[in-house]
Amino acid sequence: MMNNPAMMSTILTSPLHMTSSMVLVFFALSYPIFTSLSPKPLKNDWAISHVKKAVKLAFFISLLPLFLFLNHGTETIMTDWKWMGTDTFDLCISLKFDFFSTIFTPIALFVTWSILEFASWYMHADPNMNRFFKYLLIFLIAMIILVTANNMFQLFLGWEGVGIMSFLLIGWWYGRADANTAALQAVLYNRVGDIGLIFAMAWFATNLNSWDLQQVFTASKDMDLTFPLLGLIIAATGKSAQFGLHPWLPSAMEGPTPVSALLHSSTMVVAGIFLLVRMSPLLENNPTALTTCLCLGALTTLFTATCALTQNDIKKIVAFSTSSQLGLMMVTIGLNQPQLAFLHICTHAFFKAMLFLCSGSIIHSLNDEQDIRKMGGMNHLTPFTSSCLTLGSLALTGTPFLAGFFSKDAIIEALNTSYLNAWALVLTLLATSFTAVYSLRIVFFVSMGNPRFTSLSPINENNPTVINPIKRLAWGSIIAGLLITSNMLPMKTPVMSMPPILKLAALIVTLLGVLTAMELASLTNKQFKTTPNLTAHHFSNMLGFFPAIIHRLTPKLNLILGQTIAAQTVDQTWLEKTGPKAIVSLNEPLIETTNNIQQGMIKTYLSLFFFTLALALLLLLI
Amino acid sequence: MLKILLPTIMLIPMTWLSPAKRLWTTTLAYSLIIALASLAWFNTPTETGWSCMNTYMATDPLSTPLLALTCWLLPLMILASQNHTSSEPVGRQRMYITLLTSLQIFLILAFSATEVTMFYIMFEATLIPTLIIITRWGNQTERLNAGTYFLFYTLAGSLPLLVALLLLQNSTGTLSLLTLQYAPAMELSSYADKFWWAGCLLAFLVKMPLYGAHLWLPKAHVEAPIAGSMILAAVLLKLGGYGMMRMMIVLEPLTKELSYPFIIFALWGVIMTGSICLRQTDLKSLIAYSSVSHMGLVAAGILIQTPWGFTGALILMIAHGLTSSALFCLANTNYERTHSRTMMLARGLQMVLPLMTTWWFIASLANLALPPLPNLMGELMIITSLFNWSWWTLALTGAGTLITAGYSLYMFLMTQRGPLPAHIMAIHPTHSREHLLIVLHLLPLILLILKPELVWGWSA
Repeated sequence: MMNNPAMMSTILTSPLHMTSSMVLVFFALSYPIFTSLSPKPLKNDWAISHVKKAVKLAFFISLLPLFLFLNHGTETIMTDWKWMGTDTFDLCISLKFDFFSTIFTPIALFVTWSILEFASWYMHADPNMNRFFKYLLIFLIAMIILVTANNMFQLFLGWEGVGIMSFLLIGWWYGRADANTAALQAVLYNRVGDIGLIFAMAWFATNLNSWDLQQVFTASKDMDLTFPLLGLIIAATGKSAQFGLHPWLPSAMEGPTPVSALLHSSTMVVAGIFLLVRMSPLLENNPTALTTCLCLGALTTLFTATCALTQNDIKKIVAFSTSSQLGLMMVTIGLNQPQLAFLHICTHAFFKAMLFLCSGSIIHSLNDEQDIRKMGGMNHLTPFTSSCLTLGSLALTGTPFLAGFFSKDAIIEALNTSYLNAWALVLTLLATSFTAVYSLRIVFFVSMGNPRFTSLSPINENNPTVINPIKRLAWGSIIAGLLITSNMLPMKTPVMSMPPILKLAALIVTLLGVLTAMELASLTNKQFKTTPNLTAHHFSNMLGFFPAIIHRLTPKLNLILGQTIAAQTVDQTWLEKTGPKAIVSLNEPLIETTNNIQQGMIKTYLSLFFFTLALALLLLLI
Repeated sequence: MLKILLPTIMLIPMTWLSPAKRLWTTTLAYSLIIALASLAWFNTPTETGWSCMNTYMATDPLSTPLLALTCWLLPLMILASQNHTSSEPVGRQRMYITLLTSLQIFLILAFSATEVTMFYIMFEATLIPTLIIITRWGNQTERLNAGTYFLFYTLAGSLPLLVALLLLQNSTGTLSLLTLQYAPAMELSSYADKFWWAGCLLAFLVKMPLYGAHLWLPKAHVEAPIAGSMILAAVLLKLGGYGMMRMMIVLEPLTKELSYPFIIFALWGVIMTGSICLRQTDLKSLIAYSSVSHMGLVAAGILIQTPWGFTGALILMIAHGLTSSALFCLANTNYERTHSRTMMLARGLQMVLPLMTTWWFIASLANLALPPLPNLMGELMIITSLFNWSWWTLALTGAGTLITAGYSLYMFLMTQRGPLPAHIMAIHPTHSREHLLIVLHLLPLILLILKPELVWGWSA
């Protein structure tokens, strides 16, 4: 191959094409942001004519590096402009276009393009639609900065960028107290994670003296990386809503549906997993960190799947399913299969975005009704949306040859053939079967049965801005898995041979889940028990009582610390009463004593003066 | 050096001679020209560090950013005070501008002094105009109490410094900053030596302020008029940090064991004052306590005595100076409309003052140190250098960042988001003057992202 000069020159110039087109992507995306800074009011269709078009354009540009990568395997790092530097520590703007960023960028752009188109329908009545689109665009740019970052500082920039944009977007309807609380929750939970990231960055800076990824990877070869890796895992826990720092994700449903779609598919929540994928060269030799990831992921995936079982808000169910899938990705990181985790990020983006768009369309059609108990029979009224909802649910459960299958099945296989923690394995399999249960529950309540909503609902899905985005994502949910898996070389040798029961484990537990769900659904009609057993239901419905305890106790303790200890005890009592005020009260008696003598009683003073003088004279004379 | 100082001094006659109608515009334009000219200090061709020298004054990478910040703040103060002094007779307005100008003169002399004694005198001299600004132009009667606290805390802290400096002069024979770092270090063997060490730093730690000696700050901030709050937060606190960095060179080798308690105290203060912020109902008090919290981080960064610590401290000082000054200006825009500092009374302002919300948002983000703003660079460098000293500091600094995010966003949500209460429906619209004021705070902050070396001090 190398003998062919034409081929040779393509290979030599392809990094150039790659970097320039990736820079073009950034340029295309940031162009609307910069032009919107002009003081003139934006045109009404600015959102469509500029933002959506920019994302669409960027998607097509980003296909070039993707094809270059797929054809030649081009990976490159671009470094220019020394941003800042001390005597020993330099920081350059450096972008990394490797397997992960080259594949993820087009997917993120494609999904966002669809979501933006949908948002133009969903948000059409909002007077600030242009601003909404601008926020979404900045959100996306921050994510792409994160994905292409080649040093920790740039990564942190994107990391915080998505965090703060999610604050704005979740709190979009800022007149509502709930939306503001949810937005604040998202930032605070993420800040807890950020402490982990700051810890890791401080560790890298002090021990490796660099934040450049490749330097970090090479310089840390013989070091014990347990602590910085735990920091990174905490960071991922916060951003990807793993167990312990998960409650912000369902709360984030307060935002408009397009925000949820973007937040859950290709930005924000996958950033945590992406960080660990990015740092996988460090993780792979550290069993402690891997086991932590495995157990954390397994716990998350089961817990959130359990929560999803009894939710009635359609968006909450989808949100918990995201959380559960993120747990699965974390398990995959723990299995030391970062590539599979990345694959699941990619396939998940398509069907999760589609599920949200479908639920958005249905919510809109039913006059902003989100409760699945008040839906039903939608397959007659919105056939396209509800069939896509079903398709998305099927892809989510890992139905063979849909997108989810290629990643999920591979993950479960890798899990089954590994020698790791059997508990984690059991929990993950259980969560997989729960996936089938809650997916069926959505389809059952939304599409099947009879309508349970008010008769005058503005049901209309016949709008190209609804149909087209969902259609594109539906195609993605069908073929993306096949396309990506057939075009990528696995970095680790997968185990190809195993007993049939292990091979089919994912499908078997899913089927068992479906059957159980069907049985449960029929049981509800029969009502054998007069008093249903509610404890388990409450546990799941109340999200494991986690928010009820943590969201009351922690802020309360903090605020008590602030009020009684910091302000009253220390500041007002110890520092002020014993300091300045004590000086005043100590000096006051003295002052008063001396003051009291000076009463202007001139006769007394003079007579005293006279007597003392006389006495003194007398004593002298004698 | 003199090309900035002399025009600043000449600003005083101009204030008194210019016609009343053009008083504010001319002083503003004049001070802005001075501020722009002061940026020339950043262009330092020399390699030795010191430049723009004359007999008593010089600039170096440490003092240049602070000098430029001082010059930058005067036009902003003039811009901010225009509205609330407009009801006063013109003579008092002139007096007010004169006070602000004299403060700038003292500050320039303090930051550029090459002799520690002169620095000390100017350090003390800044108290006089500040005290007058607080006690004469404050709004409530508590201003007198605040003035007393301000004066007595700083004086009680800085008188030992004078004694300590005289002692140093006695042993080294010179107090010139140019040569002081080459003087042999003082032995710190006896208790008296340790008291001398504490005397050298106490004045600055009170000025910063260190947690424990911070009571004067919230009072002074809350009671001062807007210009007073601005200059206090932006520059006067930084005198403490600057002085500490200068003295650190003299105290360098043997102070580790002595400085540890102060570091812990400063970091503990970050948490405690942050928690107080979470419970604040008074907007200006919240911003003041947040200043204490940030300056605690600066104090810790300086006391750790590593290049990164110094750099981080300087960046954070500049960034915090601009940020907190911007926040005070924003608080003042609310105050001028509702005549109350209580946050509950001015909620949901996004509905009526949407552009102000943008400024609130950017300023809050700067306060919680969002990358790539210089606030983050500073905090990250301080956190890293502290982490290098002891891992456990991360528990304090990490919790500090969490709490900072909490109260910054609490402030933002409380003032801007939510429904608009009925009593402020007919609020006065914003002026271009106010927008300009905030932009002039935030613009340097944002531009510093592109070239942070300007404020990196010695290690750039």
